[in-house]
Amino acid sequence: MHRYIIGIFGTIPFIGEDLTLWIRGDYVISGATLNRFFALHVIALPLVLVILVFLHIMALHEVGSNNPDGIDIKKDNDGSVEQTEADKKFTFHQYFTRGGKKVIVDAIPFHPYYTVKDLVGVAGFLLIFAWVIFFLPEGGGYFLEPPNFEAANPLKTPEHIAPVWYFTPFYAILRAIPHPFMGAVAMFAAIVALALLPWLDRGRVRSVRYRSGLHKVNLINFCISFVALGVLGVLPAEGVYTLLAQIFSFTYFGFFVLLFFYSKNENTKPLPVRVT
Amino acid sequence: MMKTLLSAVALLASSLAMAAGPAVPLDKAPIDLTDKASLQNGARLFQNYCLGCHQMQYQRYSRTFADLDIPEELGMEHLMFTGEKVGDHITNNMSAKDGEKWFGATPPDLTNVARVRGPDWLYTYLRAFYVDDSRPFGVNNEVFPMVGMPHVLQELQGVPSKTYETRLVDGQPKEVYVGIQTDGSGELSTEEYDSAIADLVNYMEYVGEPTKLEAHALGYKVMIFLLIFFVLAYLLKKEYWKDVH
Amino acid sequence: MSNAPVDHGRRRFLTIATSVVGGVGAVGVAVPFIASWNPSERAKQAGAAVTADISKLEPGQLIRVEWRGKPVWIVKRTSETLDQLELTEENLRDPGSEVAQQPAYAQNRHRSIKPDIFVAVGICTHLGCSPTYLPNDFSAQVEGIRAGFFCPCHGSKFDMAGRVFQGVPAPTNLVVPPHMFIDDNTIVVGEDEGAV
Repeated sequence: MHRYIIGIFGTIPFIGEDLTLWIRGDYVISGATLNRFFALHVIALPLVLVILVFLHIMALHEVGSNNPDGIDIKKDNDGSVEQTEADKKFTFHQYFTRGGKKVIVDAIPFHPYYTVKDLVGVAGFLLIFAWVIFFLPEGGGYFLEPPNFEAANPLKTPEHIAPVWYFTPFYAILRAIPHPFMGAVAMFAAIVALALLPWLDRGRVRSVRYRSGLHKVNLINFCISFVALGVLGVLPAEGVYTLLAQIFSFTYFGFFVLLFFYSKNENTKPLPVRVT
Repeated sequence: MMKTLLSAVALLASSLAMAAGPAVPLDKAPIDLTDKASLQNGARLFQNYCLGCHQMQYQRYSRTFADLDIPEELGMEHLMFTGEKVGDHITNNMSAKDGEKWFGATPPDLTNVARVRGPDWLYTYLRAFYVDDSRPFGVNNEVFPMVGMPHVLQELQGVPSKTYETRLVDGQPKEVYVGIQTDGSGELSTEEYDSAIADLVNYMEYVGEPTKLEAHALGYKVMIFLLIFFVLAYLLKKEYWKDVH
Repeated sequence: MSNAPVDHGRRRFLTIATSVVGGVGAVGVAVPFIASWNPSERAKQAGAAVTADISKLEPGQLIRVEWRGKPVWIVKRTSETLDQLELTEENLRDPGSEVAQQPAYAQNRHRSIKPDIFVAVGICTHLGCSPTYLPNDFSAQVEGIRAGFFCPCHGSKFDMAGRVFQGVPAPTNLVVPPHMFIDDNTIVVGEDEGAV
């Protein structure tokens, strides 16, 4: 499986072969490869993730969580905003009110309201999690694939090369494009497109409650395309499945393209200033 | 538009079942991990017929004895043949190289084979050998064509052969394949052989995941506890959110 | 926003109930993780009892077996050695083996099941060196006593029942491990079927 994934880098023109040699650190996947993958995935990447989480929370606390209507909750404490009875019921930590420089309206503090609500979420999650752990650890062959239960043999390729289930949509996109390098580009583009969303979505309105029907349809199309691609990634790449994968790859990227064009002059509902 | 999209996804999802590719239809293995007598018979069959070539290198004898309610002295006397200690793993003395030389491929370790192939595959495979003079050991297998394994259980099953019958097809007499049948020279009848294979596969299913029954028992308790906790957490949430609603 | 009065009693009850049940759950989760630190099956098998054949043991001879990574001595004591055991009891720290360094069946003068067969862990109770068995030259250490154990690291001395002398760094008698006789020629070190 890893040989296959590293092989994707081999499709890059000119530098592909040298690149895969450099990634592997050897002519085949060996101890050298294993060591560096471990160091990257278990130490470096988690460290980067922790740092990013920290930065995210700092950026978030700057403006404060908003509400489902997408309205900012921190207003300057200069008398321009009037606090209602409801606002005065809740007290916030002075870290968030910047020691009195900001006043928070139309919001509730995380504790106790969201600590207690997340507890319900955790309990619900644990129910599903425990059910999988105790009764379905192999997940029908998708969480623990059968080849995991025999010793790896570099000379014997398993019958079905299939990526793990959460890679399958991108695998479907990769296979849908006949050209090896362009298929790899499409696969990575499918993920990069998500990162570009803040700029692709040119609308001023944040909350889906105030957006047009067209946007809601576009979102639903995106979900269906993604799930369809996921299913297709598990099926063999032949016949009608390939055609379907191409269609749904088109509609997947279509989401981003359409969004870019209609978001500038979208038929949104007017936003309220206050929510309570 | 929505409906056609949704039905397309439903169609795709249902084709997941067919993704495995063409295969021999597999018989359902009668697995019952609570049947200790069956598991014990399976252990006995494995030690006597399979251990010569196949190991279960991740399973200890002591674990099998404890889980199957076999007293250690009895187990050491009847199931251990080469003086190992009761805590040793179930191994044999055939080197991988020798195995490959003699059989074409090293006989694989069978500790987890039930999780690789599934019990239905194993159950069908062990009952699908048939005489084939073109093969080095004189047998072939319907489920695993060109397998390198000899039919070690032949003394129990008898000599199995592919059987044909003359039947009328479209008005013409034709030789129709009707399955594998034994010549009856084995120690066991067909039903007894099937039952013995079921025991053996039952044992291999157990060895693949020895704690499965324990996990289920614990799982029920955990789920009930979590349900109680969920209800309490939910009531607590509702109470506090009265402030907000 | 609701303007109904807050029922603090109900809130306190629900908070406490949820916390208690949650606490029970946390303990339940912790138990298997902590239990996973117990010796594994592999460690337990490696620490299993050891069988020793003493059919060829000569009087005065010491053989060594390994149990749980430790040296265990089996000595066939001569009758002279046994007689000399009572001579030095004034100079011993714990002549009656009051401190629990041995199973109950070894709490006697000869600290063993059979008087002539002595089984002990060959590790000095001071800092863990393995004392030297002196079958004939122990009188250099303790006057008038032919045989004993002398630890070269810091000079601790033990008599032929493993009892420690006064005035040496070692604080306690040598440990006698659980053991039993399967028959007259075979000892199992590490198990005693709970015999007293």
